[in-house]
Amino acid sequence: MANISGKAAAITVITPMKWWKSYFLRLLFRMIKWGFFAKVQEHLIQLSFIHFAHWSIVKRGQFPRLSDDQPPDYTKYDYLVFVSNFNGSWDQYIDAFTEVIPMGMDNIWKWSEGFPGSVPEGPFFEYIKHNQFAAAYYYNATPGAGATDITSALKVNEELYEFEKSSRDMSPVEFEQAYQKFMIKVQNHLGETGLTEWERISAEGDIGAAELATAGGAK
Amino acid sequence: MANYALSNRVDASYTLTTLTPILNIRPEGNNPSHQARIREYFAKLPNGEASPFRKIPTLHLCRFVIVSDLPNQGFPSETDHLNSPYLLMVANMAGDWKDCIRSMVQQMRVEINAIFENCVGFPGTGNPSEFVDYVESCQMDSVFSFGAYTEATLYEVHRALDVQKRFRKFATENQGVDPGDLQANFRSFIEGLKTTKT
Repeated sequence: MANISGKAAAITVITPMKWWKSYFLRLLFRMIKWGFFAKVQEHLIQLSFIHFAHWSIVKRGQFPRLSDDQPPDYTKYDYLVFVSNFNGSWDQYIDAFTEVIPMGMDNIWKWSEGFPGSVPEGPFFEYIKHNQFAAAYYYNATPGAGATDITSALKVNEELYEFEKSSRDMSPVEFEQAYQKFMIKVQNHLGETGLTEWERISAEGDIGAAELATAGGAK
Repeated sequence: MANYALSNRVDASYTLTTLTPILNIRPEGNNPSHQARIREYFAKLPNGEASPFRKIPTLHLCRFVIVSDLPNQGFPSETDHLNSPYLLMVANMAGDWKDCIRSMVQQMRVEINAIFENCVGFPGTGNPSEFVDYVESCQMDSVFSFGAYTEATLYEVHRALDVQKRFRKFATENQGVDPGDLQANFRSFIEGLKTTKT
């Protein structure tokens, strides 16, 4: 289960692109940044279940060669590397991506060889699975908190700081009224965090497996 | 707040992506290949609370993926094969990536040696700057990065989660309390936050 660490799941997808197509993709990303696809921009921000994600392009001849003894890797294609850290199951993630930004997904992967389109989902799922690599090790510093939990906690902190500052000189009655307003503002950000029973069992299983492997290796 | 950029850095957060070639020489006797040694080592390396990566104070997330070969897309696409397997490392951190790598060398010397001694050109961990240069020589830039909490450091994230948990308890315990007591309890809650560390 190296693709899962606490509440976070890892996805790593590598797909080939004809070298000249990678320039179109770079331009597309620039256009998203410049605001040409306002909806895609807006939807990306709304994908609250992603901690961090990025795309890299490995150009032909860019595979590192660090010694004369190492045979060079000069590929026919450029490679698009997609890496994401998200909460929830793999199916939910791909499903949400295709539902929320199908045009965005198409525009990003249509430069890759064999991309079937993000809708219908079946062939897209198969394409991602075919080009996905499992993590050998996946570390998460906040295993008990999803991306939404973290953004909520940061929001509570920010609001609490502001409320504390603004309520210092209030009378008890004024304070009580301001406190109620403050609670209305933050109540949706006070959910419980921590691992679910299933996640705890899974994490314990991972530790147990590591201990077994260590014990086996020591013999 | 969520944000994105056309580079490795988005606000305070940084994504480090490296592709390091793994030694592809025939092992002596029945010894496993270097790729298999890395896999075996990661299988034994504890995760969660016991992970050695917890010693790195700026690291949010980190993964290692072994890219043995490149996926084939079927006819009419051509096929690429790698002459060496590669170790893909992706680390999401806050702050300077070089400081993070130096911290790894200092805090995880044994683990870094055990992983990267199976890679081509590994300079060892005797000189942290040499290892930083080695990592830099394997770095791949991001063309588009996205993050949900790009302005927060790991300490701020831990602190925020702790404060949220404590405030949730405070709010539950202070329902229906009269205004004077509520205000006094709130002041003492805030004082408690100021005097305790996360």
